[in-house]
Amino acid sequence: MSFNFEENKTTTILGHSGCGKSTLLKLISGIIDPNEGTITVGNTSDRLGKIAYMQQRDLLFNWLTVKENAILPLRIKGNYKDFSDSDVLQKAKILGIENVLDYYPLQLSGGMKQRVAFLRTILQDSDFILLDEPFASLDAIRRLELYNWIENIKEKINKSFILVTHDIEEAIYLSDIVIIMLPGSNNFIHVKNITIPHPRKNSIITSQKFVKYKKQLLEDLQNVKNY
Amino acid sequence: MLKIINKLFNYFLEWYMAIIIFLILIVIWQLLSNFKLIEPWLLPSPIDIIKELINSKEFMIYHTGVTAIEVISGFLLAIVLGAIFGLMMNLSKVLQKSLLPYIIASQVIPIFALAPILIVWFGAGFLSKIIVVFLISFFPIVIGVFDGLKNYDTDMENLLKTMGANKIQIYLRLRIKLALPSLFSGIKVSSVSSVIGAVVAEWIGSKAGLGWIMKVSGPLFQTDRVFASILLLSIFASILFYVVKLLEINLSKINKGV
Repeated sequence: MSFNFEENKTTTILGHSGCGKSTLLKLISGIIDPNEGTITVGNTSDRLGKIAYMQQRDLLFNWLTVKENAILPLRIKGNYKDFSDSDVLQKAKILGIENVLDYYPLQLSGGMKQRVAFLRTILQDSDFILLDEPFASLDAIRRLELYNWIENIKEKINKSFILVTHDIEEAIYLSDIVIIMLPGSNNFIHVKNITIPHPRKNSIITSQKFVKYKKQLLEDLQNVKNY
Repeated sequence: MLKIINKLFNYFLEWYMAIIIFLILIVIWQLLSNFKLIEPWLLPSPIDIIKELINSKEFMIYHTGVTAIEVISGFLLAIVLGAIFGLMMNLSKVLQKSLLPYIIASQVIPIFALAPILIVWFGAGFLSKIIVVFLISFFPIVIGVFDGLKNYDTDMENLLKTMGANKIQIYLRLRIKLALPSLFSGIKVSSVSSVIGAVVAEWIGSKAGLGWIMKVSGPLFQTDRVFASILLLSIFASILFYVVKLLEINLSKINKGV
């Protein structure tokens, strides 16, 4: 299979459970290497440290404060000093977690922890951001809130997102391109462009265009099942 | 100051039953001696022991100091080498396979059998005592580090890798932190047994220390002196244990803020 992820766009990989979505993200991020073929970012296949990867669990370090957790990628690369506190604060504000920067993760709710993990992911100095069902553990209302925050933050940063999910609404809300992944096989099919303008608001969920996309994707997914 | 008093008071409230039982036992002990139910040369009364402590204050302080230096040196050596060996065995399978059998073997030889030889080899001074203390406290620490470093979280390590962390950073940021609780279990066990090690070594061959006092005072029926030494040893071992515990609370807490 061959696919180019476009810059400054959000691409969502949609597929049934167990079709290899998470494995694909592990491959892209560089945690595992492909048996055959190459994955390159820019001109190099050396990907570790170049792609931020937010996994399903929030994976916050319980012995570090929220702020220390968020700036961990900067500390590891040793470029925290080049980075201003005000930038961290500004992004934390957009995510609504500016008041808990000195708290420890265990003092926060699930939704907040997820936002902290998201902040940490976008603070990492990388052009690509991988999100592996990051909001699966949250309830519907929290998720809508988070989609809103993500839309707001995408305005501020120029980054390419690759999102993996099995939630059709999440896929439409957040992405420019939706790909449906075939179970067991090695092919992407049904690339769909979502042309709703950014930044999107929660009200789009009930818009006609949104519902139309949803219907199409649902059909596509069912077709994939019969493949 | 007020804070400390407050804390002590809370401590009393929490442990008052234990404290009352302790006081009752002391009173019974004192009464048994007062009414000459037990001969004082067999079991000196608490007051006699305190008197002995005060009368031979300088003598006691000197020998407590000797034992303390032996224990602390051997104990610190065991922590440093235990951490290094535990880490090395974690990093290299070859080192693990070649070292672990000897580390276990060093532990199955009774220290009582080994101590006389060590005293012949290294003399009756500090060095032989430090080696005995080291041998007795090394094992729990090295095993604590080794087992602790086996705890890891693949997802968290992958996360650090995607941030660009190298192996050293993964150890510093994550692995070692996750190993600290297990390391401290080992250190706590060792903190108590290291005192036993020093006394055993002093007993077998020395010219100073609380173990030496006990050895020479017993046959002379100076039981008050023996008991005074036991008291000082227990106090010293307790202090050592609580210092370690305090460090543990400050350093190894993984779930902060709860």
